[in-house]
Amino acid sequence: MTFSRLLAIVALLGLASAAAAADLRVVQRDKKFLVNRLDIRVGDTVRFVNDDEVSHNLYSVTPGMQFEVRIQQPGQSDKVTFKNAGVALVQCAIHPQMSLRVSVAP
Amino acid sequence: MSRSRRAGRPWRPGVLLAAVLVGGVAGVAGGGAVDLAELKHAYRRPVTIPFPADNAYTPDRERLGAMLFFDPRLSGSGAMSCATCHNPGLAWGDGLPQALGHAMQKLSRRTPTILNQAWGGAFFWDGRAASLEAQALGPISAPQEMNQDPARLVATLRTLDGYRTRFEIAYPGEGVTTATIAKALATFERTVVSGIAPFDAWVAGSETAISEQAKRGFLLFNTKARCAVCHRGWNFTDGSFHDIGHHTSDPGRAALLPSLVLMKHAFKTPTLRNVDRRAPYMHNGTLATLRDVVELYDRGGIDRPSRSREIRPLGLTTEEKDAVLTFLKTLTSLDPPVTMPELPR
Repeated sequence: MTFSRLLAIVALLGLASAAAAADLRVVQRDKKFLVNRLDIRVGDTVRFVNDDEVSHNLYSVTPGMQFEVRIQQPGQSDKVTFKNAGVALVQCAIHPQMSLRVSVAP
Repeated sequence: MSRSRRAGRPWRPGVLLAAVLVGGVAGVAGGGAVDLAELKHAYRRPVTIPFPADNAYTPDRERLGAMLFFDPRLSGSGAMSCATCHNPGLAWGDGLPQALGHAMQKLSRRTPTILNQAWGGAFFWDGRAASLEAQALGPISAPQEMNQDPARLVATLRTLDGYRTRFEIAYPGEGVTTATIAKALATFERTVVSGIAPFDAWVAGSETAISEQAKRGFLLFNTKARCAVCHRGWNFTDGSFHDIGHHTSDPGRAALLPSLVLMKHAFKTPTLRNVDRRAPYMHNGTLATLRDVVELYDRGGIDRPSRSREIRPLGLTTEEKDAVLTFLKTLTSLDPPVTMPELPR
C-alpha cells in the first residue's frame, strides 16, 4: 500500500465518522430546521446549532420529554440528551412555524 | 380596505408573472451594499391562497363563512358579529385602542386585522391557536367578547332553513356543528387578502409606482432600520413573537410558555399591509401614529431581560425615519368595497 493510498483511506474514515456525527446535528437556518424529522435512540444526544442570522429559543413540552434550550444567539449550539422513548415535538418559541419531530426509539 | 379573492386562481397573473425586476446595487448607510433585485424578489406576492387539505376551498364554503362572519346572531346578545370588530371598512379592524366586547366592556388588547391570515401560523396576539379553525370559535364563546354559548348558536342556526341548506351544500353530511361553523368562518377569512398596492406594482417592475423617498425607505427597512428582521416577505411578517420593549403589564405569550424569559410581553409580529389605515398601533393600541411606532423602534424600547435580542437602538436620522414612513404608506391597497351578504331569517 502506497503512502498516498493510506492517506486516502484515513481521509475516508474521517469523512465517515464526520457523517455519523452530523446525523445528530440539527441546524436552524432561515427560521427553519433543515430537517423536519429525526429518528434517534434513547440516550442519544442531539446538538442544536443556530446557523441563522436571528436568535432562536427551542423547547419541547411533550409529556416526559420536556426540555428548554437557552436563548441561542447566531452561531451558538447546545446539546440535548433524549432519555425517554417517544416522539418529542421541538419548536422555537419565537418562530412557532419551526417545528421538528424527534422520534426516540427504546 | 381589501377584498376577497378566489382561491386556486392566479391573482392578475399578467401583472404578477410578467414582473420584470429592475436590478441594481444600492448602498445604504449602516447597511452596506444591497442587491435590490434580490431584495425585491423576496417581497413578490404569492399567486394563490393556501387552504388546508382538511378544509379545502369551495365558493359555497366562502359564501357560508361570509354570512356567518357578518351575522350578529353569532353573539350572545345578538348584536355583535365578527365584523363588529373586524370591520372591512377599517382594514378589518375597529380603529380602537382596545376592542369593545360584550356589553361594551373594554378588552385588554387591540383588535388585530384579519387581512392575510391564510398565511398565518399561530393565531391571536399570543399565538395560542394553531389554526384559523381553532381560532374562530374563541371570540364567539369568550364571555367578555361575543359571549355566545356554542351549543345555543348551533341550535339557533339549525332553526333557519337558509343556514341548514347552505351548511349541507358546503359541508355535505357534516351538518350544522361548531366544527363546520369554524371551518366556514376560516374559509371566508382566508379569502380576505390585501389587494395590490403601489409597492407591489414597483416590485412587479413599475419604477414610477412609488417615490424615490419610498424606495430609500424600503432599503432602510431592510438594513439599518432592521424592520425586515421580522417584517419580511410579501405579507411583511414572519409570524414571530417578540417583546419589543413597549410599556405593558400584559404577559403576552408567556401565558402559554411561562418559563421562557423571552416570551414575557412577547406578541405576534403583525402584517404591515394597509398599516397606515390601521391606527392606533401595538397590541394595546397605545401608540397613536406610525411615527410613534418608528420612534419606539429607534429608541430600542425598554431594555429588560425579555426584550427581543433583535431589538436595539437604531440611530435613525429624521430623514431616514421619514423615508421609512413614506415607504410604509406604499403598502396600502385601494380595493373595491366589500359586499354585505343577505342573512337567513
